[in-house]
Amino acid sequence: MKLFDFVWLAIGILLTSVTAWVVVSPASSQPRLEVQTDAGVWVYPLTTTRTIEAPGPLGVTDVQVSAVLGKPTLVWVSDSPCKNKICIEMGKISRVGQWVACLPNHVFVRISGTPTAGGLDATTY
Amino acid sequence: MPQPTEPSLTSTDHRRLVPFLGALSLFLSTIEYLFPKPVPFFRLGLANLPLLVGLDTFSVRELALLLALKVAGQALVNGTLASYVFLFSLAGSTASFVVMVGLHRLIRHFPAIKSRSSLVSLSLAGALASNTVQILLSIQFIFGPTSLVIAPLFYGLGTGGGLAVGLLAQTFTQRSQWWKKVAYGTS
Repeated sequence: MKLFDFVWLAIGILLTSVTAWVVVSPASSQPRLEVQTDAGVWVYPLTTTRTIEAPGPLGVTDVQVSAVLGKPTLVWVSDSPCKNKICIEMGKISRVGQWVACLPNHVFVRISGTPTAGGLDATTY
Repeated sequence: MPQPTEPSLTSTDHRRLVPFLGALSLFLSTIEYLFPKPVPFFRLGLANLPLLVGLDTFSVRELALLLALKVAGQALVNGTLASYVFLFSLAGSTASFVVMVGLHRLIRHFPAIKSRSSLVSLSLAGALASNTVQILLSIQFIFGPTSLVIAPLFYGLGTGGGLAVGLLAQTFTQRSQWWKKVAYGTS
């Protein structure tokens, strides 16, 4: 390998490092939805209303995302082939760190990103 | 024996060599198909090998024909000819082609740079150009800003793939007696 080969290699490593830093940097970590299944992890923005069909060993789990301007985006499981429907009963999530899981169907839904400064961890009645 | 710097192929030889290298691209696409990919349009760049090897030998027009054969071959092997994956592949390959051929033709005028670079430089530059264009297209048309999540993986694998393919191409052009014979008419 020659001098400019190393220069281009350094550029490649630099691009990899910079983009990795941008992605994992807390300051730039916008909240996003991660849907994990046996087939892999899908990442979605929380800015669009959509229905996500997450496949699992029992069938398809439907995940709803409701994005309304000026309101927190809500995410919930609307339908699932599992027996107990606990994932549906878990209700709607909207904040970073919250999650809904359908263990029988191997579907895990969570909102990832940096928690809002000063936000509440949880509420009780 | 010093390596000749000017190609000495006749036009008939070119006509035979371009489709042969196109077929080699198709074969390498099949090999590449065996590797798992983070997203459907990601390529390791193995099929770029004939293009890299031919940089010193072919004209831009012949290299463009080789690129077309490579893109079409990849689409046929992967079954993506009628999908968005084909457009991504085409855009990435075209960007890679423009950067590799452009740099190659440019540094010919600067002997100091030429003596300090090899096909590894061109392969890495092409891989990074291809990855950059595909990430930008992904951000613009498919996944939105979330696409940035795949960028480190893209650049990391692209750099590794570009390095490996560049080293392979450099070693092949330096050591292959067959290539020296068919490309330069010497052995």
